[in-house]
Amino acid sequence: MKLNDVRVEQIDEFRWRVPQHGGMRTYGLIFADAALMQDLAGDQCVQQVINVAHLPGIVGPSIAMPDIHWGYGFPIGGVAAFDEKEGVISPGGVGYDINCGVRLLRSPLSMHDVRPHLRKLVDELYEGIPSGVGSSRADVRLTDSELGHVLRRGARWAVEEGFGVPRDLECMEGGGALDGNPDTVSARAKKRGKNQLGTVGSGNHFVEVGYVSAIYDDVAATRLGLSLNTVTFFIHSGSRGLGYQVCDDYLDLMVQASRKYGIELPDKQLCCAPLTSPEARDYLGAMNAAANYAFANRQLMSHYVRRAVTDVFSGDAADQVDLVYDVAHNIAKFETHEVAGQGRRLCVHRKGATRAFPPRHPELAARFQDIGQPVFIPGDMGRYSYVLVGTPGAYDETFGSTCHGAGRRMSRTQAKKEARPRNVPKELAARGILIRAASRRTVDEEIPEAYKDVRQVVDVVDGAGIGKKVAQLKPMGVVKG
Amino acid sequence: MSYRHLPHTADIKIEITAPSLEQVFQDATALLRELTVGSTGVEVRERRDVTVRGDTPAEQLLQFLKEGLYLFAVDGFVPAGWVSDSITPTEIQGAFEGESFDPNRHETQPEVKAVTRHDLALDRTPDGWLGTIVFDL
Repeated sequence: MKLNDVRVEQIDEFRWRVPQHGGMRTYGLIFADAALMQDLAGDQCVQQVINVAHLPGIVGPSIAMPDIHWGYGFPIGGVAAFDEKEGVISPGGVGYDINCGVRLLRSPLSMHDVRPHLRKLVDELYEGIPSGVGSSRADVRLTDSELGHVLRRGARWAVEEGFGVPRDLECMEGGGALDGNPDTVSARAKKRGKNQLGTVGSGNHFVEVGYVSAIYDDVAATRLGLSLNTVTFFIHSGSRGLGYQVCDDYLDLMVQASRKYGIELPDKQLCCAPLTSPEARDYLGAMNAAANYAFANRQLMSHYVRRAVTDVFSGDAADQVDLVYDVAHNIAKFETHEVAGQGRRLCVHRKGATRAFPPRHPELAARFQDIGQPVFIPGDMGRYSYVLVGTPGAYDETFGSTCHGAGRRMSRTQAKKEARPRNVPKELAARGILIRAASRRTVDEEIPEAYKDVRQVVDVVDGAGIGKKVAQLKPMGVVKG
Repeated sequence: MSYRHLPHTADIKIEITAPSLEQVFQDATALLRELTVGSTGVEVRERRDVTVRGDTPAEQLLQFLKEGLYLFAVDGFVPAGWVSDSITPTEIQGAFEGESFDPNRHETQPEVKAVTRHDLALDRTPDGWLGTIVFDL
C-alpha cells in the first residue's frame, strides 16, 4: 500500500515493513492492524520512522508501535537501538518530558467500598496533588542540596525521606534511580524543578482512581494483586519543567554537535551526537538526572495518594496500598540484546514506548521473574486502560518494547469545538466517573473521543506477541491539570 | 494580530505573517499571551529585559518564544507586549511588558512543554515575513 507517497508492505496481520531506500540504513517496522494503518494517512509519522532509519549506528529496524503518531524527530511510539560504539543518542528520541511514565498502585479496597466515598476521595487527591500548568507545592520546596540528591538518587531519595516504603523501589525500572549527573543539568532546569516535585502537571497527565473490570491472565493478575473490582490508582506524569528544560538545552547543543561530527539529518529535530562523544556523555548524565526527578515525582504523588486513602478510609487501608510497578515511556537506556546470535550492548531509545522485558530477565525483581515485567497502557478518561506483561516476543523483535497509550485521533481545536456546547464533567459523572481539573480547557481537549480506542492498540500488541494482556481497568475518578 | 492556527492532531502549529521582522516579534508576543492566559486581558505592570541570539531569523524566533515560555514557567510572568531595542541578524534586544499570572483574573491554559524545531521556518516573502512554529503540549 501507499501511505503519504511512502510504499509500505504488509508482512502479516499486525506487521508492516517500510523497505529500505534512499539514505535509510535499515528498514522500518510498524506494528498495526489495517484499521490503525488507515489512521496514519495524512500524518507525518511514517516519514519519521524513515527519518530515524537514517541515523548512524542503528541496529535492527526503526520500529513503530500501534499507537504511533507524529512526534518531534522520532515519532511518538518509536523504538530504535544504536550500537554503543558506532551509534548516536538523540534527545528527540527521548522527548521533552524525560521519563514521562505511568505507575499503578493497588489498594485493599473494592469498587463497592469506594463508590460511596468517591467524591471525597477525588477531592482529597485534587487538593493533595497540585495539577495544572506550572503547578507547584508550598510544602515541598527543595534546597539546592536536596535537588542534587533527587537528581542523583531519584525515588531512593524520596523513600529515604519518608515518601514511601523500600518495597516500592523493587517495583520500578532501575530501582527508581539511574546514573544521573546533576552537574550536567543547567541552572535554568534546576530552577524550574525546585518546587514542582510531587505535582502532576497538565495536558494528558492525570491521577486516576479506577477498578479492575476484567482479567485475562489469572496467574499474572494474582501475582500483581489484581482481582475483579480491586480499586487502583494510576499516576501519569514525568519530569515536569526540569525535564523539558534539559531536553531544550541539549537540543541546542546537539544541533551544533551534529554539525561538528558531520552527521547528516533528514530533520533538524533528530539532532544527535555519537555515543562516544562528550556531548552524549553529558546528555546521558542530564537525561538520567531528569529521569530520577520523574521517579521521585511519581513517588511523592504515591505518598499523597496514600495520605488521601488514610484521610478518607484508614491508615490500615493506606498501609496496604502497594505499588504494582512504575514504567518509563520516554527514555534511552543501555541494555544488552541478542542480535544475530550475539549479545550486543545497545542504547535503546523508547519515545512513547514501554519497556516490556520477558519472564526471567535478570533486570526484573524476583517477584516478576515468572510473569515478566508489568506494563501499563492508559486509555482515555472515559473508557478503560490495560495492564500487560512483557513477553519473549518483545525481547526478540522490539528490543523488549511495547506500546504506551491510545494516541490522539482528534486535534485539540476539534476536541474543544466538540466539547464547548456540552458539560463534559456532567456527562462523565452520569457514567460514574468524577472529574476534577484545574482548567476546563484541559477537560475539553481530553474528551474520550479525542483519543483512539486503546483496546485496538492493545489487541495489536497482544496479537503480535509483543505484550500480553493481563487485566482491564475502568476509571471512577480522574484528577487532571 | 496576524497569526493563525494550522491543523495539528496532538499539539499546536502556528503560521505568522507580518510585514516586518519587528511585527513578527509583536505577533509572537501576542501568541505567547494566548498560550499562557487564553483570551483574558493582561496589564502592563512590569518589564523584563530580554536578549536572544540565533544565526537565522527562524532560530531567533525559536529562542524568543523559548524565553517567553521560560519567564512564564519560573516567574509566572505573562507578556502583554514587546518593545524592541534592536534587531540584528544575530541578536534581538528588547523587553516584554506584562504582569504576573493572577488565577483570579487569568484563565489557566494547558501547559506548553516546548517550542520545537519541527517545521520551524521564518522566511522573507514579497510581502514581508512568513513563519511556522510547532509547540509541544
